[in-house]
Order: sequence, then C-alpha cells, then structure tokens
Amino acid sequence: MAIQIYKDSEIVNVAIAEARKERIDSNVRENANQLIKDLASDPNPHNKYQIAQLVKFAVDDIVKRDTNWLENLADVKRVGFGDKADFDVKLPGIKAFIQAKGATTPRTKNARKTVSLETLSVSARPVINIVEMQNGLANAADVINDASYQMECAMNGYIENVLTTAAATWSSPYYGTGSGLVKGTLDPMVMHWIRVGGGAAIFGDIGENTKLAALTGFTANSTTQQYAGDIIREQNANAVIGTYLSAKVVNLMNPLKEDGTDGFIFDQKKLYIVPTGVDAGMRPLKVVFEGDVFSTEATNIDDLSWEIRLDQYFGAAIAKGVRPYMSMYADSSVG
Amino acid sequence: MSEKMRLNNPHDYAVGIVTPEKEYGVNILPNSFTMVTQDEIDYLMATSTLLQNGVLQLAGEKQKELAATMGVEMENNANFMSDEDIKKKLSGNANQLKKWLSSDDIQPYVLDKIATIAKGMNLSANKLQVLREKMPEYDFLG
Repeated sequence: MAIQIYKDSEIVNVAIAEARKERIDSNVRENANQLIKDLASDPNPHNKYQIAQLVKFAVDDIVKRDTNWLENLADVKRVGFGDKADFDVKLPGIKAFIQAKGATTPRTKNARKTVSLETLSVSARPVINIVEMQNGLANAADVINDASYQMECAMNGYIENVLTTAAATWSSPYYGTGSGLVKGTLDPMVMHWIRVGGGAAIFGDIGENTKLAALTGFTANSTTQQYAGDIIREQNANAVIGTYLSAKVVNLMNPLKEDGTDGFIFDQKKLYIVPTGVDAGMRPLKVVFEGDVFSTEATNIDDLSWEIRLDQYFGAAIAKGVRPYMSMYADSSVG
Repeated sequence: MSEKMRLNNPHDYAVGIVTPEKEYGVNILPNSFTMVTQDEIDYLMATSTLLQNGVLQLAGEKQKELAATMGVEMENNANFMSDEDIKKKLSGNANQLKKWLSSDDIQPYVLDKIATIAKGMNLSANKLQVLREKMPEYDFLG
C-alpha cells in the first residue's frame, strides 16, 4: 500500500523533533528512518511527492512556531490562500465639547480606515540528492532545519527593515535616539506607554538590553552612583534585568545573517517599546501570513538532482492612524 | 574654561547625549539645543554617529568646520540640507537627482522629508521613477 503523509502523521512530528534536536524514543526514530528509507529507495513520483509533503508540513510547523513572537510586537493575521487581510486603523473620531447650554454640538463619528496588505513570497529551494535521502531521518531533518531557518531569517529581516525605516520618521515620544542609552531620553518613551497603555514591554537585542541595568542607579545620600543588590545579581546571572521602570524586558532571538558577513538579522542597537495594555489591532506593524508553507518538487533531468521549492506568502507594512502605539529607541553609539 | 557652543537638535524627536561632562546624560528636546564644549564635540564624534549623520548640528560656520573635520561634504549631503536646498535638488534633472539619492547614508527621516517635499511639487514622470526606486514604500501620486 502506498505511503501517505498527512499534516498530523507521526512521521511529521518525529521529523520536527529531529530538526529541533529534541529527544526521540529510539524505536520511534527507527520506524521514521525506515519509512523515509522506504520512500527514498523507490523514488517514483508518488514517493518523492510524499517526501516533499513531509518537508513542507515540518517546515510549516516550525516557521509558524518560530514566528509566534511577532504577535508581541505586531498586529498579525493569518488568512487563507487568495484572501486579503484587512487591518482596521483608527482615525481621530468622536469628540466631546464644552459649550454654552443649548448650543449645537458639532457632529463627530467613530472613524477608521481599512488597510489591505499585499503579500510577497519567501521562498527556499533546497536541492537534495535522493540517494542521500536513503540514509533516513537525519538528512530529512537537515533539509527541514536549514529551510525553515533561512525562511524565518528572510521574513524577520524584511519585517525589521519595514519597521525601522518607518519608525525613524516618527516624532517624540515614538522615536528617540542618543549617544548610547540615555536615561533622560528613554524614560519618557517608556513612561508614555506605561501611562497610556497600562504597561509596557521593551524588546531588543541582548547587547542593548544589557545596558538597561546601568540606568537603574541612583545617587541618594552619595556622590557616586549606587545600584540595588538584586539588580547587580540579576545582571550577573542573566546579562539583562527582567524589568525596567516596570516594563518587561524581552530579548529578541537574533540569528546571524547567512550572507558571508558577521551581521545579525535584527539591528543590535534598537529597542522597541510596546504598550501591553492596548489591543493588538492598534499596533502599527501589520503582518499577514497568506496560507501555509506549500511545496513543489521536480527532478532535474540534466543532473538527476531533486529539488523541493518551499514558499510562504507573507506581507508586512506600517499603518498608523492617530499615533503609532509603539516607540523605537535607536542607540547611535559606535561599537 | 573652553568656549561653549550651541548643539542643535533640529528634529521632531528627542536626542540624548552622554559626555564626560554630562555623565548622567542630557536629553535634547525636539527642535531645541544644549551647550557643549569642543571637548564634548570631539567625544561625541569618537563615540557616536549623531554628528556624522547630521542628527545633531552646530550653528553656522561652526557646523561647516565640524563637517570638514569629519570629512562630510555638506553641500551635497541630504542629511544636512534645508527644505529649500532639497527643493532645489528635486528641481534639477533626473540624472542629477539619481546621483544625489544614490548615497546609502541618507537617514530615513530625511527620505521622509524628501518624499513630503516631492509630493508637493509637480515632478516629471522620470523624476518620480527615480524617487520610487529609492523609496518604494512611498506613494508619490497619492
């Protein structure tokens, strides 16, 4: 009977676990190895399609899980293929007036505009030697791991570029910069969102987050800066403090770019301050994922290599109504 | 004591500086200034990109001297241009415009300013094409 792989097949979960270097029961691994060997040893169109399905389902699952963090920073929508995501952006709306008794109150209405996002494709096209695939799970996991990692990096890089390009055109307190982290500039930005949004979270690269501890000092009854013992302990243990001015400090995972440089996907010198108490729909960064990861496979008749093309449609844009509902601090220090 | 000069923040956002003389930092409010010494300017040049990118600027002749020290050619650098200068650049021909915009160092807020000014001008199709290539996220017809 021909093997069929579905999204919830056990082999998909095993391949994901292998790609993520998680523990797998030895007989479960053995069964998965055998299944992939069986498929690869008879590379007929059906079997090759099933391997492509396995890679697609696993990459889709990993990309979904690893892009979940975006929901903390952006207004994220997942729609079906061919569907358009509409984002509502609130505009200046209903107003109240102090006026003389019996005067005519000007009419105002709750106003919003709808923004529709175009999507692009993030695509990876690994070439696989079908003979090597007969080695089983390890080779499939390598393809899954590399493809999902590269797709995530490409998406995160694009999203960051959209966000930073727009945010640098905002005014205070939505954008600020300084020669290092300057308390007098950063604090009003954080305080703004604590006041307006009922709380705030600070997202940044660990290199920038680690500088926050130095801003917590005070000089009461002393001419030198003093720090609380638990701040020093926390900084030593974790390289960052968990909260700053009551805002939760979150380290962004910052993978290396695969462009031959030692650059990172996210700018190491930016802090994003997001209000935690406002609806996600108010956030200016809009991200849409159209459909799941899908795959197309083909054998090259010239060199008999076999390719899987993986695509995820997605889009990102900035749409702000009255205000952006987040802030960005850019550290302009050198080094 | 060395002479103090005015360091301007001509933007709509706040800029913070830390120098050995301003150990705890100073927040320069939008469209405001602070007084600094030549030593502080030297320190800021060595430790940040705020002066090189035109985020903070000295007034008049002092800024020209500073730009020369930093090797910045202010006449053609969009980061240091007034609205009038940008208008003049946009009024030139498309090839000159393309050359002027080819620098990667133009700050996002300066591009935003250029886009805003361009929208208010009646520019030819080939100049709009140059602007669109540099700033694909802007709608110059809207």
